[in-house]
Amino acid sequence: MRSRPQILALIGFTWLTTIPLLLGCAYYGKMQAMRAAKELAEPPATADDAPTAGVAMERPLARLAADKGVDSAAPAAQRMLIYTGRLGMAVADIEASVQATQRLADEVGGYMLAMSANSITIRVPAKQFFPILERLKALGQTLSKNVTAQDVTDEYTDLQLRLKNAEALRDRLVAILEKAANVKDTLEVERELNRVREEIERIKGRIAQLDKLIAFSTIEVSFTQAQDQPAKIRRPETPFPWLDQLGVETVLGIRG
Amino acid sequence: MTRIMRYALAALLIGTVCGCRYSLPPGFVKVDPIWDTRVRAVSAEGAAITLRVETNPENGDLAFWEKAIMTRLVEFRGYRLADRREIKHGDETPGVQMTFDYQRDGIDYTYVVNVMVKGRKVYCIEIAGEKTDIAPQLTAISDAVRKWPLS
Repeated sequence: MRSRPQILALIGFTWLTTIPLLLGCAYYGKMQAMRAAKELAEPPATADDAPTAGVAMERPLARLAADKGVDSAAPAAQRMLIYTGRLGMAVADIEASVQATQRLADEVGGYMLAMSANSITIRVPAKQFFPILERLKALGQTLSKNVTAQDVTDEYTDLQLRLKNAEALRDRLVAILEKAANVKDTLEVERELNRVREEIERIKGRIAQLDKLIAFSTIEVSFTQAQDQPAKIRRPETPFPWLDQLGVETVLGIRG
Repeated sequence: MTRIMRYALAALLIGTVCGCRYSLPPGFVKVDPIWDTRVRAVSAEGAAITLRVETNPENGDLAFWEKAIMTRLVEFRGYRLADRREIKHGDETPGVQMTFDYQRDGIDYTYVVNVMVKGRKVYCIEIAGEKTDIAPQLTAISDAVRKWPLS
């Protein structure tokens, strides 16, 4: 059984030793992540460097990506990116286009997030983001296109480190709690333990949220009636003039 | 004189054989081609089918022509792709069938283009008609034109 001052001194000692350790770990982790990102971004120039590239894939970022089940061949495995795309399209049939967009999302394992009379927001697996954007262009005339990629690699790495450290702190506090001498000390350690546990849950929640945002990209498409839009004059010359003869008018012999 | 008559008879036979090579779907008759098309057939309702044969430049493949046609029709002309499928023309030549919706003067049209590449030639079979008229016949038309010879 220890006296109250002894318990408080023990908590104080734990904090004093843990905080520099946490800061040191965070700094070391960040440096490691930056070094790994730099090495991944620079492929080996010669065959002799090839083994280094193999090692680079074992660096924290690549390992982190592999742990999360992300394909290491994809760019998202090296940088953790959240893709968002916004398309504005002029189409002949708005309702049909909204439905076609939803079908596209279903087809690739995605889902509809929101829908209105003339717009739809879908979420698709990250690997399908650019192929789906390309396929959506076939629905009509693209009036605007905006693609953003939010890099959350640093935040993700920080969260992983903070989680690891918070879990270590929790374990130490549990050990202290077992040695607490009286009710007051027990309550104080438990209060601190609860705070750390809440922090762990918050970090885990944010990591889970980032995982979802990284795994599925968001595409928002707004449709307008094709006739209401001024015609876009954009017809580059082609060495195949017969392509311009294709269409309903030629086949049916419609003049004018 | 006999020789001239033989040539004329041979030409007539060849012409007859060539004319019969293009099996037409029910309700269609063969008419003179317009523009640069090689074959043209029309229905009483006004639907039409054409065959176009163009030179395929070096490295021109099916993907190239599909994209070229798609860009021309969708990006520049306001056609809307309703369906796209890979086909086998005559059970051997790979091709792509693209079906488009198109509106002109308040009338809804269906436009189908089958594109095939064979050696230095690219073949386009186009089918067009008012949406309501052509919809019931589309399968029969597609089946018939798929047997057209590519030569």
